[in-house]
Amino acid sequence: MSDIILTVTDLNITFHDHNAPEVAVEDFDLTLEQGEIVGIVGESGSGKSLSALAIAGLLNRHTLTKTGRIIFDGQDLLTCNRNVLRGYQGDEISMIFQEPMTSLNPVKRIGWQVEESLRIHQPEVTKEERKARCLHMLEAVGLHETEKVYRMFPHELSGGMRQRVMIAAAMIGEPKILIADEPTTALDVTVQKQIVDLLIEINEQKHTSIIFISHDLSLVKQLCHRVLVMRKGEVVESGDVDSVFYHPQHTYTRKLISAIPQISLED
Amino acid sequence: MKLKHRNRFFYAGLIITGIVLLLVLVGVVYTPYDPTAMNAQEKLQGASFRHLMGTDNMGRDIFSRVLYGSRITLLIATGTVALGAIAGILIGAFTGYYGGRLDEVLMRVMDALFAFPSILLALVFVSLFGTGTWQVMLALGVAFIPSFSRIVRSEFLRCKNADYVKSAKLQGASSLRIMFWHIMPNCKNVILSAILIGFNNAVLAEAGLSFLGIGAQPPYASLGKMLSDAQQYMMTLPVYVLGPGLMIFSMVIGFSFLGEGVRE
Amino acid sequence: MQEENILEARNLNVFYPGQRKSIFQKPEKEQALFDVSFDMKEGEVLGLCGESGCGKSTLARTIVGINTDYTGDLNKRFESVQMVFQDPYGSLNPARSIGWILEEALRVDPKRTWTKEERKKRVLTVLEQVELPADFINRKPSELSGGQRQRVSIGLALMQSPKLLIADEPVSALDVTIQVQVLQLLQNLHKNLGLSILFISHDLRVVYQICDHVLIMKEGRIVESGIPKEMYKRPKHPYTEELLVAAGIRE
Repeated sequence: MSDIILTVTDLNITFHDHNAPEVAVEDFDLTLEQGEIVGIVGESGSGKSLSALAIAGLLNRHTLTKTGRIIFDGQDLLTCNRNVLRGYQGDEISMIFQEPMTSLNPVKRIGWQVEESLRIHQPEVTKEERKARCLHMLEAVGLHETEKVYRMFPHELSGGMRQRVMIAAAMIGEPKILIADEPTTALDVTVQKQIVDLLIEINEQKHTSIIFISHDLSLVKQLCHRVLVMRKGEVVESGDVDSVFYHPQHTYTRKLISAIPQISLED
Repeated sequence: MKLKHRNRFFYAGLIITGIVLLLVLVGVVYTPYDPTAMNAQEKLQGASFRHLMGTDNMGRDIFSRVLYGSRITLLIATGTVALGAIAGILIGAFTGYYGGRLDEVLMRVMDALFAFPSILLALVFVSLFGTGTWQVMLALGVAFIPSFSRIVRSEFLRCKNADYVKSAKLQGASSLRIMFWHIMPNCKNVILSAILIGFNNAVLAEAGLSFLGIGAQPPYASLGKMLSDAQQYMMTLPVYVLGPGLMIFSMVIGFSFLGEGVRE
Repeated sequence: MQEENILEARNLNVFYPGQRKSIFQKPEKEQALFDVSFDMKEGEVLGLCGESGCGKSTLARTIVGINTDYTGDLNKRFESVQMVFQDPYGSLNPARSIGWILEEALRVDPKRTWTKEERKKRVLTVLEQVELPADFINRKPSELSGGQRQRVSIGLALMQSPKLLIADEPVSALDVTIQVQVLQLLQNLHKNLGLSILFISHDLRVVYQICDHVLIMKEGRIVESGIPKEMYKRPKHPYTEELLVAAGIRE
């Protein structure tokens, strides 16, 4: 039995934007083991991204309340000091997003952006070592001519390359948890596959736990060990990927699975 | 416009502007005294029931003159904004929609106009055409064109590549129809808010110009002209300054609140 | 039964203006499509498949006549063509009501003039065809869900009764369960109205479900064409194979 590194219990997220409070996530539970890939699937408005943002500590708005517990490293990320939280963000827990166009700063060079988390969390690392680690990381995510890429700007790269850069920036601090919020949705299918393969490789080599959020069941099936199916803020089903896919219990899960066009190549 | 924007700014603005407009409208049909009638016996009197805001250095009733002056100020502001908005919207729509060389040329003209201080422009106009209400209106109106055209142009640039424009084209809608029937309604809020802000600037600019002595000529006066006249009596007769000052303040704050309310 | 071709393309080379170096110079041309040839039969659903930048949208724009800079033959045997776009949030004018948007297609109809009553009637008919309630005419696009908007977009495209409908990734921005419903709607319209549909998509699974024939495009060229079932079983071009593997259809 591996170690549990993250426990989320009874996470509730409520919006207060309008007159009546609106529950966006209800009683969300999740345990994440070291080296595990957990998928969260659901359609838009299911609360999958909100849950992930809350775990990453990125959900801070005045019009929203969060209750429950998110225990990481013995600390409750929901109630801990902001400085403690900031110490984890980008270092122990990092995140990649859907839109590689906007998640990189357009006026900063790739090298600078990938190194940023090292600069913040490990200021003792020398400039030379930072660059060496950055180049190594860029190579590890499958980019070629890393010296050249290091000096490039985001607009000079394709969507797939940008997403690789994002993964490099997220992984450079060797986080324990990588949260990937629809990281392949904006990409072409062939590139999608490469990114998924890259995530699997990272998981196998570094034993990084990954929370993979997606609306695409077939991707989740390829990548994840366990899966949570969300609908309207609630987890309707969770379990081992194979059992959820081949023996779905909840009607909504069945509906989602049947929405994938079936293709039979047999005569 | 629908009263969807139920916010405090909007209602506060509506009330203040309403009171101002009501006073001005009343002033059209009735003023307590003839705003130009001088009365040597009653010079520089303080506020009283006979003269709500006292009388000026020529014995004219300040309240009546404020009512009358507000009308001129509002007239100039309306004319200015109307000229600026109509010309600006047309220029913005055409440059934004068609782009290309027309856009390049017209926008450089707008930049030049924008860079030119409006006071200086007004002085040029006045020295060419003489002083007066219409000249001021024209000068300020021209100075207001660039801000409107820029706002509308950027809205058109945002909208013109939208899919709904493409499908309107496919269905056979003409360019003019697409510009004014399809895209323009989407600019409604920005234009409305720009008009309200423009109104403010126009009131202030007119006051500034009249203060310098350009604009409405004696014996008639706009609010700015009255302020300028009142300057030397500021210490002895504060109500002389307060009357027109308060009116300008109410107009500006009312329109500002309305603008803020519309934008939300 | 001999079916007529509604569209024939022979050696189509399409160009688009590149970056303009200065305002006095003509922009240099760049080529987007190379020697594209295909036939589309009347009443069929033709899939056009490929990754971003492969030229599938350029081809659509050329067919509807937005791109006019091409060489080769494009034989259009249809009077009017309409398009359904990908993004259900951009394809309906946010400032107008659904009723206005649908009626507008008739007000600008170049083929004939419609009286007010005829317009009203046609709008209601089309709303029924796209399976939306009649009271939607008073709603604004912002009050509709993504799936409902896409239904309105399809309805808008149907207003002038086109022979050919070009659907440019019509379901890719929708949730999977909604995708199923919108695809079902397109199939129904195809059957009931005898509509020819050029279905542009990057999703080989969706193409499989709805298309009679499919063209695979890469870098401005058609690399393979055929019936989905046969092509997926025995892809001839390595790129088709690559796409099928990436989509998890073939191992």
